[in-house]
Amino acid sequence: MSEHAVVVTALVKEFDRGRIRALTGLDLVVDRGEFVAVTGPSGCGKSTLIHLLAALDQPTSGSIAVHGQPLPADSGARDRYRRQSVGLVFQLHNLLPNLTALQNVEIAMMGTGVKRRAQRERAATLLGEVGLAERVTSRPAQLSGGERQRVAIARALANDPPLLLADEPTGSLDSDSADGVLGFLQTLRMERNMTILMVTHDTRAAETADRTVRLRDGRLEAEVAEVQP
Amino acid sequence: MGPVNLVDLIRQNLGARKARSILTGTAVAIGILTIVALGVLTSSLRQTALSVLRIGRADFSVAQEGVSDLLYSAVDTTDLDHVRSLPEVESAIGVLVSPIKLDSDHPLFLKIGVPAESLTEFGVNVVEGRAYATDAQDEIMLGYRAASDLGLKPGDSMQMEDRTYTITGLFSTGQVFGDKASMMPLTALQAEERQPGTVTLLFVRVVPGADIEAVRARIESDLPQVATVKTQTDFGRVDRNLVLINAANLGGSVLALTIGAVGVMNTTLLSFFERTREFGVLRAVGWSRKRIVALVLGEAAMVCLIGAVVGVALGFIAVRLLARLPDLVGIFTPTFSAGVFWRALGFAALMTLLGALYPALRAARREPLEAMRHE
Repeated sequence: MSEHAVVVTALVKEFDRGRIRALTGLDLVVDRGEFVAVTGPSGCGKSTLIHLLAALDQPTSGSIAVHGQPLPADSGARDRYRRQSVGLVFQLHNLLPNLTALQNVEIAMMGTGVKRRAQRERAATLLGEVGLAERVTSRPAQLSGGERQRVAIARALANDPPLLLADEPTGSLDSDSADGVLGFLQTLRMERNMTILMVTHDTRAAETADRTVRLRDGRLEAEVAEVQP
Repeated sequence: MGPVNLVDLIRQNLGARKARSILTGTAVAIGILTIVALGVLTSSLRQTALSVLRIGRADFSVAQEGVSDLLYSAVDTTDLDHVRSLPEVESAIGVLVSPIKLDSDHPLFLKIGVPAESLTEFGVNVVEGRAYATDAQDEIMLGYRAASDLGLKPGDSMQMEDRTYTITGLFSTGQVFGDKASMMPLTALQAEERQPGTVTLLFVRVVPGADIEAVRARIESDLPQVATVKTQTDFGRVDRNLVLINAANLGGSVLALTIGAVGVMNTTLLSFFERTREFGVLRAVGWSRKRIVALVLGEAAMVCLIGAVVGVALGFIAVRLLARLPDLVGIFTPTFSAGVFWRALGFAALMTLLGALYPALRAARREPLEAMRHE
C-alpha cells in the first residue's frame, strides 16, 4: 500500500479555453496521516486544487493519485469516490436549510448501503464528537456559524473517509469558532490518523497544520514549515 | 423522528414550500377532476347508448350507417326481409324505437315497437299481466322497473304525449335500460310515428355454428346503407354523437393533462432554480445523478399523487352533481369503475413525467461545482 495519501504530478488546470491558468504544473505529495495547509494569494489555485482532489472538476493535464489510485474519470465512479474516499468541508457550510443537523449528516450516508438505524446512530455520534450532541434537532438557521461548520465537518466524516479536504473552513468564522474548528481538525489528525488538506488564507490557521505549502501562480512556491512530530 | 430517507426528504422539501405545493396539487386535482368527470360522463353515456342494443337478445344489430344518433336510424323493412332471407340467419327482428320526454323526471323514455309474436324471441318475459295484442293500437307493456318507478300496474291507463294507453302487462328483459322502457306493437308505433315500413334497428341471430363475422360482412356488402354493430367499437359507425363525445373527452383530457403538466413543470423549474446550490451540495457529498432525478421526480410525483386522490374524490362529487341536472336524468347514470382510478393515476403519472422530467434531468446534469456557485 502506498505511503502517500495524495500524489499530484504536473497538474494543470485551465479555464476559459486556456485564457486562465489556475494550476500550471503543480507537484505535491501528502503522506498518510499528514495535516497539510495550503496557502497563497487569491487566485493562486488553492481552491482549484481542492476541487480537483475532490473530483468536483477534471484537470486539463497531469495526474492525481489518492491512496495509490488515480482519480476515476467515470461520473458514477467519481460519485462513489466523493461518497467513500473524501470528506469535503467548504468555507460556507452548505447545509440543507430544511433539514436538522442530524439529517444533514445522514444525507451523506444515503445510498451507501448503511442501514438507516446505523446511519442515525453514526450521525448522532459524529455530532457528539464535534460538540453538538444537544443540537441534533436544530436546523441550520438555529445554529451559530461555528456550529454550522461543525455540522459540515460531521457530514464530511459521515462515511469515514481517509482523506479530508477543507476549503477555507474558518474563513467565515469568528476567532473562537475558528479555534474550535481547527482544534477538532487537529484531533482528527491525532486520534484517527486522518490525512487532511486544508486551504486557508489565515496564517494562524495554517500554523495548526503539520506542514504548510504555499502556492503562487498555480504551482508550489515553497514549503514554509517542516513536518512536526 | 426516524432516520432520514428519500421519502422523508421529499416530504420535508414539499412541507418547506407548503403554499407552492398546495397550489400545484390544486392544479393537478383540477386536471384529474376534469379527466375523471369527462371519463365517467363519456363512459356512462356510451353505456346508455349501448343499452338500447342490448335490450334485444341477438348476436348483433343492424342500423343505418352514419346517423348522428342511433335513435335516428331508419332501416327499410325490405332490408329486414333480405336479412331474414339469408340462410345463416336464424331470426331477425325489426324494432322501432321512439324516445319521448315523459316528464321532468323522465326526460328520456323509450317506446319500443316490437311485433307481439316476436316478444319471446326478442328476449322479453311477461312477468305480470299479458302481452299486448298483435294489432292493438292503444295497448302497451311497461318494463317492471318503469312500472315501479311510475307507480303503475297492469290494467292502469297511461298518458304519453297526447295518447292514452292501457297497460296490459309488465315485462323483464334482464337488462336495466330495457326494463325502464315501454313496448307496444310495431305497426301501432310505426303508425303513430308516421313511419310505416321503417324500423330503427334489426336484432339478428345466426344459426348455431354459423360464422357471425361472415354474416355481418355479407349483410354490409348486400346492404351498403346499413352497418352491423356487435361491439362498442362498432357503435361509432351508427352513432356519430358518441364519436363526437369520445373526441370531446379525449380533447378535454389532453387539455387537462397539459394544464396539470404545465403547473407541475412551472413549480419544479422554479424549485430547480432556487435549489441549484442544494443539488450541487448533494452531488458534492456523493449523491448520484440518479438519486437527484429520483428526488426531483419524487417531489413532483407526491404532489401529483395527492392531487390525483383529491381530484378523483372531487370528480366523483362532480359526476354525482352532473347526474342531477334535469337534462341528464335518465340518460346519464354514472357508472364508476376501477378503470376510472387507473386512468386518473395514469394521467397523474403522465403529469409528473411531462412536468418534472426535464427539470429533474437538468438538476442531475449540472456539474456539482457549477451548481454550488449558483446564487
